[in-house]
Amino acid sequence: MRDFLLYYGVFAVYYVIAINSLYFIILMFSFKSIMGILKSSVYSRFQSLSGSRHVPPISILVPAYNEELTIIENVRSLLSLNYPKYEVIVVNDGSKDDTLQVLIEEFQLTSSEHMPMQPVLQTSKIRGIYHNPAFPNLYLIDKGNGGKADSLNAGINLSHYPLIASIDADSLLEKDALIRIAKVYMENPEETVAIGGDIRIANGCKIEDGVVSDIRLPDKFLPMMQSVEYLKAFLGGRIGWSAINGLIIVSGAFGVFRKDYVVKVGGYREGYPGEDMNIIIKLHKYMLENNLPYRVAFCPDAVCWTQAPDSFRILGSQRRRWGRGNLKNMIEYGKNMVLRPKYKVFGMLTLPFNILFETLNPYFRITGLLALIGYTLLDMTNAHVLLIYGLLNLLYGVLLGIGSLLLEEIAFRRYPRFKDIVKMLFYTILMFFGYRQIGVIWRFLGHIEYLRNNNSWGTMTRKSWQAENKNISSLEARG
Amino acid sequence: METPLATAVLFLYALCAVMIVGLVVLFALKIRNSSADNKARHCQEKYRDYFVYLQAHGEEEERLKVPHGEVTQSEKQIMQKKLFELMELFTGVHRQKLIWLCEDLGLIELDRKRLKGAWKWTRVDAAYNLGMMRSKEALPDLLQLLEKSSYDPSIFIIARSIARCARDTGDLREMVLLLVRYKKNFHELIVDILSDSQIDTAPLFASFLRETSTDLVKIGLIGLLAQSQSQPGIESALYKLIESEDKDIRIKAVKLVCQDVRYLTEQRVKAFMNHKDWEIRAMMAKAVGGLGLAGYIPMLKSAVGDSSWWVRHHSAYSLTALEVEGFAALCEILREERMGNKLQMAHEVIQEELEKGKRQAAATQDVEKQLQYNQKLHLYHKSYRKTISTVAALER
Repeated sequence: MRDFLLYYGVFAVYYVIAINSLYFIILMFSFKSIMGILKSSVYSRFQSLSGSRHVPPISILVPAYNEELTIIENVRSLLSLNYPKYEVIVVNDGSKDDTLQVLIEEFQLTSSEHMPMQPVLQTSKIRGIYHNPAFPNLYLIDKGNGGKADSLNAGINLSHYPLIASIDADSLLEKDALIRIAKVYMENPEETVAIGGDIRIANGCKIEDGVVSDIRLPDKFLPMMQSVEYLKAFLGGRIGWSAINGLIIVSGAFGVFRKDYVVKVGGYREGYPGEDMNIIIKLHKYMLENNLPYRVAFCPDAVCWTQAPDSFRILGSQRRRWGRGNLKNMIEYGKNMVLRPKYKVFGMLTLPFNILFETLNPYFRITGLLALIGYTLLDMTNAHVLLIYGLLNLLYGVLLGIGSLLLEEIAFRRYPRFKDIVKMLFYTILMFFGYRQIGVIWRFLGHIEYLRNNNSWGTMTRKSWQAENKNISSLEARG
Repeated sequence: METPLATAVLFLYALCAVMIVGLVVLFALKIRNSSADNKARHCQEKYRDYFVYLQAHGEEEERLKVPHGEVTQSEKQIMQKKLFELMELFTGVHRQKLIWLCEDLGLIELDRKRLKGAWKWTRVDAAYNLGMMRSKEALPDLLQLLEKSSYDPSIFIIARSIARCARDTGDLREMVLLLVRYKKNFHELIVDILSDSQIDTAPLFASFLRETSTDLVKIGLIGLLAQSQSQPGIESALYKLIESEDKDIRIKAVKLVCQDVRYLTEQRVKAFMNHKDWEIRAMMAKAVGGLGLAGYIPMLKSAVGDSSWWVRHHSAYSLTALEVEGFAALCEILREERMGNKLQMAHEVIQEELEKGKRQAAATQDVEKQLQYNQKLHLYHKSYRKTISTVAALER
């Protein structure tokens, strides 16, 4: 027993060093790309490009389930994007609240029962399609509840353009987010199959007419944690992964895809938590198996603002769902592609990394904790060893956080105040004292839910953007 | 446990060192950025009257004067950004005077030196600035910079600058040749970049149609498709391209042909409507409606039964664009067909057209529109499908 624990301890130290070192290498790739991203962002003439006829038209798909509180602001924000030619297709996925009614009333939509749809993907029954010629680029599909993937497939069937963008109904796109992403597509249109946008936390920001007018960090603990977490994942991680074409996920909150390839891989999969990861895995698989040159890109200056859960209950539900999705994807696709040279970077690096350091992470963490208890009971360790092990974990994590903040300061500077940087730094450290550990438990619980065949969406309670603004105003009034 | 522990301690020291460096760089950067912002604000404030002068005297004949007193290098660079903003707002003489002012301030000379700098991103900055200042003298250096660049987003910044500085189509052609060697098919972006040039690009696009390189041909076709007027003398090249082995070229060539009714002989329309590529059939079907070519209604009616959804879709919509006569053809499909895709498409488009017509008739006092709606409804009633519930719904 003592020997086993000893060897496990050695393994755990190397595991921590390996996981963080790999994250660090990916961070270095992000640094390598950042100047190109910065210059391209500053010197590209997005204003003139947004009036160019050479920009590809895009169909924006907005799956909505019980989104009556945020959907109007979201659609308004989408209808006022700086983009030459696009359509917004909202898909009401059998909401139990008044999502359908508020949309119909707000935009004076009428049922167009016979609007032609190209049935390229199978979906649950469409109840009706709504449209108003006064808003020629807005469509509303009403359908029976079939999940987010099913809604996206229904949107694809109605879409008229070669590119599709998937956007969460609780998110707000910056006015030039779409044109920025389109520019990335235009720079390599043949090979680009998907492009992800940067997701940032809107809690704490001031929202006016569906637009983030004043960028502030969240005041509440959980959204602030997620703010730092997202910054680390998107800037520190996804820029680097996209630089080596190993991106495994394009966030469901905002991503653009080539419609033809999405259809070729069978569209989004029904009843599938983690459908955003699933579609990217399928695209990698299809392109690599058919020897087609391709890339899955990331555009960090195309920003989508989203509402972060501010209670443990809702955050837990979201993270358990992510855990379920990740495990399901790895069991159904990952295991068949991992360490197979024909899947190149994706099979040889991304998938092993994901399986070892994401999917199996809760098990290593939990067994690590159990081993620690064992060491203490068997008197195999002392405070000195524990301190070193803990510090190693903490400092490496903080270093990665500092790297992400550095990337933010070099290229984006969305939080201009000095105290914002200090606050983010503080939360980067704080994250390691409880928040990360709870995250591990949620992921583990997600795996248990998967084994129990739970494919539901879980609880996601929204707050209206006005309510969010009222909170900010009252905080401002209090000084 | 000794060795892993020693490794971990060693690692801790290394981590602390890197972390301290990271923190120092982060705060130094933050302070530098804040100081640069303050400096820019201060400079804008200091030269506020001068910028008002620049905007007010843009149309006069005399050259704009440089500011009084000594202007530091950093102030010049801050002013340059403001001047670029003004250049984006103005065109013609006003913009030209701002360019001369940049020259008088020594900004062009400065950026020409920076263009030969050691750092890649300094060179890219300089290239952008020179493009904004339309520096024709910098063009050979810009072309050289593009030639030496590997594929990354900076090539588009340099290319746009070349387009702005170009002296003639020869320069633009050279730029295009340098861009296509990356083999990334960003043809639309190249045409967009070329539209930044002050030179008439139509002859360049027309000349590309006769090239053997498929990239150049595609750029030529995309460029000509974006022109508002058709370019004379391209007919023979265009007709050859319709037969091209490259599907994309075929489609684009037909699209160009479909833009101009003069190219559309009956024989050609027939050939396109029966083409092996569904994209070409769909494009032709769409063009017939868009150009109002009522003579091809029978052809469209038959194409509503095409194997491709898009051809069926465009044919049916084109029929609705051809007024009552086209609508009547759609209604005939309802009478003639008992089942299948043709009937379904015709039915869907008829319903949509009637719904649209009903809404328009209700919203307008235009008698002609109301009459047209009534005529269409009557035609629909006459069709054998009048039992379909939609009629009743529409009449309610």
